[in-house]
Amino acid sequence: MPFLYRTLFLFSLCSCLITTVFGQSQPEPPISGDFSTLTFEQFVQRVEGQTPYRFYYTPADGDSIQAMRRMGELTVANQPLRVVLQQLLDNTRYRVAIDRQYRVYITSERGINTELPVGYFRRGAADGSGTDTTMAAYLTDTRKQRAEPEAKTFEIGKRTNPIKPGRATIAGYVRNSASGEPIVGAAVYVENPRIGTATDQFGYYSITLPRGKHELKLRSIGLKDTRRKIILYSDDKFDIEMADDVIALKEVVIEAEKDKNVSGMQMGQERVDIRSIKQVPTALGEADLLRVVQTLPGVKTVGESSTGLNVRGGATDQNLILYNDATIYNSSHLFGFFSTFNPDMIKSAELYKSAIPSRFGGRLSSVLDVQTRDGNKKKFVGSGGIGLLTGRLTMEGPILKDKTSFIVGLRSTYSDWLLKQLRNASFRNSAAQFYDLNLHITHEASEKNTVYLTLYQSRDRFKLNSDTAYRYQNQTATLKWKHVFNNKLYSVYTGSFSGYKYDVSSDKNPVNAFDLSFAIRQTQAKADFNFFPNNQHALDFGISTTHYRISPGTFGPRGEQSLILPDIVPTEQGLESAIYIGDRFDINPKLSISGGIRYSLYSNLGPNTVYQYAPGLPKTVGNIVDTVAYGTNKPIATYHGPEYRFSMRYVLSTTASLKASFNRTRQYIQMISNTTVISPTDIWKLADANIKPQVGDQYALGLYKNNQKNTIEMSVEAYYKTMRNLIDYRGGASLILNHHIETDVVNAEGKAYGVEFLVKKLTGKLNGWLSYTYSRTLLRTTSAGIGDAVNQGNYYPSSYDKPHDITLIGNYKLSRRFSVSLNFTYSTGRPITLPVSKYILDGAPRLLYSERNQYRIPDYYRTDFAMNIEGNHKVKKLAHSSWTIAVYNLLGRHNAYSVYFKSESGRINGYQLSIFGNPIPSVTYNFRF
Amino acid sequence: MALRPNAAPLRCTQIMQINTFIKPVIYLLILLAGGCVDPYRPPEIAAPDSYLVVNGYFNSTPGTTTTIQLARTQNLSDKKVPVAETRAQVSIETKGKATYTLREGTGGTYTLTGVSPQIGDLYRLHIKTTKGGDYFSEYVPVIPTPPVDSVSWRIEDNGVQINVNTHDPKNIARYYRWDFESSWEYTVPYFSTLEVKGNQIVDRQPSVYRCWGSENSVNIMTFSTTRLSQAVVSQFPLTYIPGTSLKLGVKYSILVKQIALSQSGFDYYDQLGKITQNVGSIFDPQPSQITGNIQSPTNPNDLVIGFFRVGTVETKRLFIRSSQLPNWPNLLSASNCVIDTLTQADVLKAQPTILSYDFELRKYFTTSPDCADCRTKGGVIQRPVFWE
Repeated sequence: MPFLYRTLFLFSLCSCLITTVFGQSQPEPPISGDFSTLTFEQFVQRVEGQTPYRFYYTPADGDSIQAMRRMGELTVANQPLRVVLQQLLDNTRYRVAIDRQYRVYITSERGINTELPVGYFRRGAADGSGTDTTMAAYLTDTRKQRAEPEAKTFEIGKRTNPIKPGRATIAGYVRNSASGEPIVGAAVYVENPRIGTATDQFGYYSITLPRGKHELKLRSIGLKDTRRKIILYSDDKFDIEMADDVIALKEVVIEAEKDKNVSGMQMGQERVDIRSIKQVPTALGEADLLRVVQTLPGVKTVGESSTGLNVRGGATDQNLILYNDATIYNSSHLFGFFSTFNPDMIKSAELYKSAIPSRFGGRLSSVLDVQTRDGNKKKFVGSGGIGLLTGRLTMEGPILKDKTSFIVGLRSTYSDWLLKQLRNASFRNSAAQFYDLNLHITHEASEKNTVYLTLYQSRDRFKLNSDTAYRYQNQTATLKWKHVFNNKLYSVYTGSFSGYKYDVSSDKNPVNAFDLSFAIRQTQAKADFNFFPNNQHALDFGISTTHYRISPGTFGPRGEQSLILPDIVPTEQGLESAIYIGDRFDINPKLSISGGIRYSLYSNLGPNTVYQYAPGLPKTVGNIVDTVAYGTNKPIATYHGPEYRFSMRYVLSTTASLKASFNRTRQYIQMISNTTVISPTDIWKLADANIKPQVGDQYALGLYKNNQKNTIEMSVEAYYKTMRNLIDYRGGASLILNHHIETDVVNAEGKAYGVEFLVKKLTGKLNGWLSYTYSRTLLRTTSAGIGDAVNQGNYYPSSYDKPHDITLIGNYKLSRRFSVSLNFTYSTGRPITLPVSKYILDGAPRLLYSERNQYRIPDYYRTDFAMNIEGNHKVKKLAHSSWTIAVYNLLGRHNAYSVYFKSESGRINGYQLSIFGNPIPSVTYNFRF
Repeated sequence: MALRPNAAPLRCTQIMQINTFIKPVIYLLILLAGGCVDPYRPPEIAAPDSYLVVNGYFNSTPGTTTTIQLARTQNLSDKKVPVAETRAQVSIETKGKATYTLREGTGGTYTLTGVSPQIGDLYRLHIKTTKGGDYFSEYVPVIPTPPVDSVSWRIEDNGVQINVNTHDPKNIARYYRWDFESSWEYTVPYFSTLEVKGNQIVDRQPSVYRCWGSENSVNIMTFSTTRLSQAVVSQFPLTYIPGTSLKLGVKYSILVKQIALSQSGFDYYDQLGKITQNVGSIFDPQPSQITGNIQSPTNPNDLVIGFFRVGTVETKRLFIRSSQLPNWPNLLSASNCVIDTLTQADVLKAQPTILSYDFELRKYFTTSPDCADCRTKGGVIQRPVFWE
């Protein structure tokens, strides 16, 4: 804006100058006086009173000059005004020009030329030997001025006269004008009639409008609102660019979809933008996507060092975490102190808690769809950050300008180096390292074809006191081809690979030295289609197939002295295929429904050996009656079923709506873990002849209300969920290297219900959200044998059943460069099993524990504080930088992470373990260049 | 064709390291993150039912006495000794229906002499309480314990690490458990010749300069050799004694008791160990109710705690003299002791530990009891019979 303003100012001045420029050369009247106590404005008035000079400047510039506090030194005796002003404004961005009419122009950055170029009126008569410096300077200094598209009228389609009646479809990409990055979730709409849509994950939109004149409006997070005047003749492609809103630095969330809360179809969906991710204080100062997701209503976590999510009563393995369409199996670094997502690579993340679109499948509770940014298509830029434990660097730029771009990011830790500094020898011999590496390439082959490639790798390695070493790694690769058939139909073909593996090795005692490893490889191919037949319908349909290959455990000797017998749990294979179709149907402006169905078919494939158990008896080793061997790729067990996805929205008023949804999900792979949080040694298990796939149903109802300006959103959502074929564990179950895991697990079913209240303020100096959730999650075992029943087969709370949860995320912008954030979290303590009696066995006291999860650890309560300081807003400088100073657990409360009892020297002592027992301060420096 | 799975799931002790070594990593992170462990007092847990607790095993060594002890569980806050279960009918039955009744002794003990179990036979324990409880154990086989090959020690991290080694030449005994009793001889820095007795200062008799302390192991230590090609236990760590410990002051002795277990016995002790020793780290499994192989056939909610087995116990004793060890600084050194010179009146008033009387000064050299009375450190002055 300032540039535009200056330009207009300049033009208007020039036009009025032309007639008066040819005055005679006049002496410049000198000025005198002591101006040191005056404001700039008073100085101007004084000079104008003494002399014929008249000043021209914008009041804002005047204030800025005033703010530079240079007036204090201004005492003048009989000096020309030009010299005085030059002295005053020396080394600032302000320029002074004085014309022959004693008009003083003060402008920023560029001075005004008060003379017309030499030979302006004598075309071609200029002296050939001398260059026209005025002209040359002007031309070289001219900023390239794009035709202002907002002012222009675009004709779309083949021009006809008169305009034909009926409707036509416009489709195209919305991109960032500076980087060429597609903009996801931008609202594209016309106000009369009220028709709108939002861009998809590729920044693509398709909107069908009545033919004729329209003003197409666009809004998106952190970008300047824009509009295009169009005359729509027939179907055509129309790409739109939006500019960064420089002023909106650190502006929070979802401005684009101001009324989406009320008008959108989706419910139980949360979108987090990188801007809000960066604003929430975290323990070690690093912006962390999963930490922010954990603050959303309906999302809980077992403990604070865990990145595991429990969404609406679901287990941590029931979330489909997608990173550019590839599944991430372990989303944590360093035991969950960090998530595996590099904040500089992420554009946004969407969490679906209910009404999961039919294009997603494979997990019961939720989908977390994480999208990377596309590289800058116009120029090379970089960014990075240095925190307490980690450092990161991201580079991006064009490979072929405006066609192909790349972004590459690396993040690593120097915790290893920190350990080496510790004096304790056992720490010095320890190691803890991780890194993650991302590469994302976008290639626009033609208007209708775009190709995306994403490669990702994360690795963790740690070792304590030169003994057992742990390593784990995630690897993903995604190749995506988007093909646009026409304005109404486009398709995306995706091939992806996800791998996760860990290994544990020990060589302390050569006789027992071992290697233990686990690996999962998932390969997926899918085709998705989006079809917009008219504005009332939006169809999507597609087909996908996924192959899983799991090596559940390979155990072997390490070194020649080791007596360890090799043990390999046979590889498991499975093939999951699905077909889906979904349609959004706007029946009338008030009522919309969205219905979808996904049909999934799964087969557990050989080669493998399957134990058969006596029917009606618990699955124990003693009850094995037969063993059946299956050949390669022979189906061992097949499961299939429909997954219904249905939602509806009814608009109550312009600011309120009611939504309802039902969805069924099926899950064919689950994590086997009897610890309370995700641990790196957890294994994944495919559904097979003895372990059935999980099935979940969820009913949800929500009421959404915005205030008149759409600045405050309020919502209430209630849900009821049932889950079948869950697994729970027998007490002290052994899960590692278990050849018949079904003997150590028990079948369980679950139910979960809850209400989520959310108030969000999205704009203004004070923004953030406040949520309250009441929810319960109960499980009960359903196996046949009495020996299997946990708590006699009654419902018991799951380990992540935390009924009350209050979260406040607040941010206050003190100025454009300085903002403060405050977080507050309260939740009920999670359930635990406590000792109820003691006894003496073999001479030592022991404990008898209660039935499972009958007690709770103390309630959780935490406050965090952060300050974000932005560097100055000059457009041109070496690097843009910002500082984040945060204090996690400001009050230093000892929140119990777990409670446990130990028998020590014959006495039974209870302890509570807190992970963050003190306020944790951190400083992070981020930069962009 | 019924085929048994050939490999048991990986048991804890072998790969125990996976869980127990993650724990220190977590503590390390906690340290970096400023975490902490605070004492925790559980809420008043309503008094639950009291359950029967069975201790003891059927000793298969010929000519020995088998002792089974019955008691009851207690509330956590109960400070008294456990209540013994008296007047119960306790018997051991063979699969061939022979029944041997145990004789009740004092304090809930029941004994049987003169019956040697036969290898190959199966036995079970049968208990009838006066309250009408009727309990049976599962039938268990006789599992003799192979002898301990050696108890070895080595210096590690400025302390002594004691390990046990054994093997079964027949490759039968695959599961082991160990207990140990440790004893140590120690002295205090000063010799006390006098003491206050009945408001008079008299010669001290006997001396309290030298004492013997003792302690039983409380942790459950198990190991399975099923993952090894031979039933060999090599350097299984039993205990670690820091160099500054009083236990290494003069001479230390450990009596290691080795018990071979069945697989189910191993599972029981292993789980019991897991829930009482390894609970609390972030990656530990949740504790659960663990009872054993004794049940009430009529009322499964009437729990019985304990595991009945038939077999033997093998022992081995090791001595370590301080002369075999580096000269570690002892916590109990004379430099930490303050010597005070007091008059007789002061001595009778303050009652310190008296070292000696100085005839020239006509005063007593005294110090704190810690420095001259070894009994303050928990030991006794009687020399154990086995002491070398």
